[in-house]
Amino acid sequence: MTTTIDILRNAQTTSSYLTLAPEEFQSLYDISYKFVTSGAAARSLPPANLYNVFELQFFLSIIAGKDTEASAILATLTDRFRQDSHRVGVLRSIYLEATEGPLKALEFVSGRPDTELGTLKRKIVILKSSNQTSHYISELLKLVDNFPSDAESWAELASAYAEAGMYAQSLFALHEVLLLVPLAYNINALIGETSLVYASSLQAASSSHSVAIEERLFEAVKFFLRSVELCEDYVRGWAGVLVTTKRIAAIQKPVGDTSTYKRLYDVARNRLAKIVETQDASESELASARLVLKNY
Amino acid sequence: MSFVSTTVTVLSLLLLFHAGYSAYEFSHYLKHLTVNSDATVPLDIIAETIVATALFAFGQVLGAKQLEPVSFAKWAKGLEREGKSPFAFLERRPGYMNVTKLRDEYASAKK
Amino acid sequence: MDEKERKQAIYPLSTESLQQNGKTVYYIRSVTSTIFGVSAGILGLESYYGFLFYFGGTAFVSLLMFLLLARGQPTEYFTSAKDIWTGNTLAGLSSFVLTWTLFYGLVDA
Repeated sequence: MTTTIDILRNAQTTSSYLTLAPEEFQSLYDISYKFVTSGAAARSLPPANLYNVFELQFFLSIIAGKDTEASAILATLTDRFRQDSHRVGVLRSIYLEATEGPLKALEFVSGRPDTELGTLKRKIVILKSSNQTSHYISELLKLVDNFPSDAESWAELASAYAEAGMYAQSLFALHEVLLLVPLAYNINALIGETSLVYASSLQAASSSHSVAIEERLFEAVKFFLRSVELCEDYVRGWAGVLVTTKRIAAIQKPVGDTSTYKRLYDVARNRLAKIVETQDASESELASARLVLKNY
Repeated sequence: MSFVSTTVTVLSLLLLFHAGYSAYEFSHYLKHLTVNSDATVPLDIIAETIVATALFAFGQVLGAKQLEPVSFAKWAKGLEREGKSPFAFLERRPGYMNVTKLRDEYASAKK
Repeated sequence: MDEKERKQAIYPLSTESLQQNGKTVYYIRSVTSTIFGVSAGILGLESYYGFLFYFGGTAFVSLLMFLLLARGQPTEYFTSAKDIWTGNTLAGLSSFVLTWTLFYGLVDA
């Protein structure tokens, strides 16, 4: 049985509200809205958790365009934690960005101390909306120079590089994330995926097969395998192994030894087939497993 | 706590209370109505107490939280299945959320 | 890096699970030992017999946990199998003695 508190805590720790489908977002919003406004939150939660729920409700309201609600929550949090709190600063800048435009928000974050990671991130995001990707990347690089232990910034940098088609740099940033969060199986899988795309882009650039492409593919398999080692029956990881080993098998004249990869292809197929057969994953993962099995 | 474990626990506590009260009565009679005051607790009270205690332990263990697998891979599998991945934030990156875009998406979905 | 460290690096353990399981076992031990004290008091046990009763009861709870909670495979849920048999066995002793003496006095009219 999952309680309202569990649902909201999950949404908060995994930031799921950023990627939910509209109807799921709406239901999360309704649950949270009811929980906060009925006073049930204030009655049943200790202060630390209560303000986390408020913060979540702020994000939900601002995304849903309920600006007055967001402003009311922001006022409550500001009264409690004062204007100079880091998290309140972030919320305020998001509120300004959404309601009064990037210029006002930029003015606000410029007035914040430059040791405040949260508002520095907001500043970069605001600059992104007006600048080009190269500016965005150089700003992010400055940030990770000053805060090298912030995994989220490295991951953002990796995604910015990938968008710009700079896969080698993207991989470097992802390896930095892994140094900070070595058990992040999703980042292992993402490295695999990025290597795979990198190999494709190398392929597209040169007509003939090369060692570099092969190495990228081998590396992709390695990281996909690490992700399933860290998370049992991880569909994303096994799907990656399947797709990459298929690509390796299709190489006409491989430079290295590819016999192991042929066996790995069978292993991945069996694993995915078993997951589908026993329904041993969430609905969306099962769907992707079926799709990958059909096409590769 | 499941229904079974709650029932077992309540039942065991009732039994235990009954056994305790019986033991009290027994000791009362022993002191006031007999001369032989070194008799031990009767067998039925002993049996009731032991059954009650065993039932209580059973109910508690039955109703306890499920143990989590200690292997990280198995534990992660469970979390992944329930959409509770502790590393999802690295790909969603709330600190870098694009609030204008999210608002636009929501507004257009509403229409 | 020796063999054990190598294995730990490849197949890491979940510290959160270990903590959670430890808490569950600790909770069961505390609650049951309190009730063991009540029973020992009702039975009118004295000196060594009381402590024997405590350890007998604790062993019984260990068995229950082994069968019902760990389903016969304690290594799936603890770093070593002995954690479920001997872990936290003394944690409930003081509450046991407390309720034991209390109920020993209560049932004595």
